[in-house]
Amino acid sequence: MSITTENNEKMITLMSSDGEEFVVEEAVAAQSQTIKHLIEDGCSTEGSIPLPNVTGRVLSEVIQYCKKHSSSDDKEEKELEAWDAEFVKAADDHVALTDLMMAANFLDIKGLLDLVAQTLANMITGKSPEEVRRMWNIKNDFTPEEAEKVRKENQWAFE
Amino acid sequence: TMAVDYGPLIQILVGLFATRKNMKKAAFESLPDEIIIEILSRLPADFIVECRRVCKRWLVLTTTPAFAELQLMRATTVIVADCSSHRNSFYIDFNGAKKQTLLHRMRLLDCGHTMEKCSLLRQREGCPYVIFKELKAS
Repeated sequence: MSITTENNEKMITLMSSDGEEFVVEEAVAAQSQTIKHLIEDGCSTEGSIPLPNVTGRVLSEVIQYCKKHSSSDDKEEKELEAWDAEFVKAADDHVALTDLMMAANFLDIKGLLDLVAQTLANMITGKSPEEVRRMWNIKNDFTPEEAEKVRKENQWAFE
Repeated sequence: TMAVDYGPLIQILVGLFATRKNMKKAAFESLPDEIIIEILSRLPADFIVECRRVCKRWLVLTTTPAFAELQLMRATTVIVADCSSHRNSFYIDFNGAKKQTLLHRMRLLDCGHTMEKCSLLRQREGCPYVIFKELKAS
């Protein structure tokens, strides 16, 4: 059943993969294009939308972002930028940010996707290939010959 | 004396360690291509070149025309290949809107107001790339 608040805001319930429920204003949830389309297509049974790919921890962060961004207008752009910066800082590390990015991608929230992707890009800029590998736990799958070939082909870029 | 075969035991132990290691690794390696492209296309062009040395997957993902186009729209430094060369398969279609974007950037470069002096790598013989560095207006 969909609930309405005192100021007649329509509310919907989002359910995370681990069964946590979040009751939010429809306008807030509709920041996500995915949810917006689900609502438009009448896919929210009894006002509840299950989100099987998003955990409660991540969903609560996403909702924080959506709330902030649906309540601010353009005049507050500077303030919003500062808020965004704090928001990604609070996400703590690149693993948490990666989870957040997966959610933003699935839920189709462009602003959040841009914000997190840029933050992650900034985190790896200036690091050596070895440092990047260590940060992301990536295995170096080049043979020494292949590595040399790639290095040579791209070497002109380093003045 | 009887020889004890430790083989299977060792394999189990190795397997256990491998599983623990893989669980940590999974985070990044299980990411879909589109997510990795979202991140890498926001890097400065000269750094993308460096990132190609990280692993094969990154090399493949950053050497497609679609990637070059995305990067052109997003990043503050832009990587452009000479259309006559297909080395590294990084190439820009010099048509329509894309050409306009490039010409616009080059003009800006000439007047020197919003763009740092570019490193025209073409100067080095055989180099098929030009890298533009754009400065954020202060």
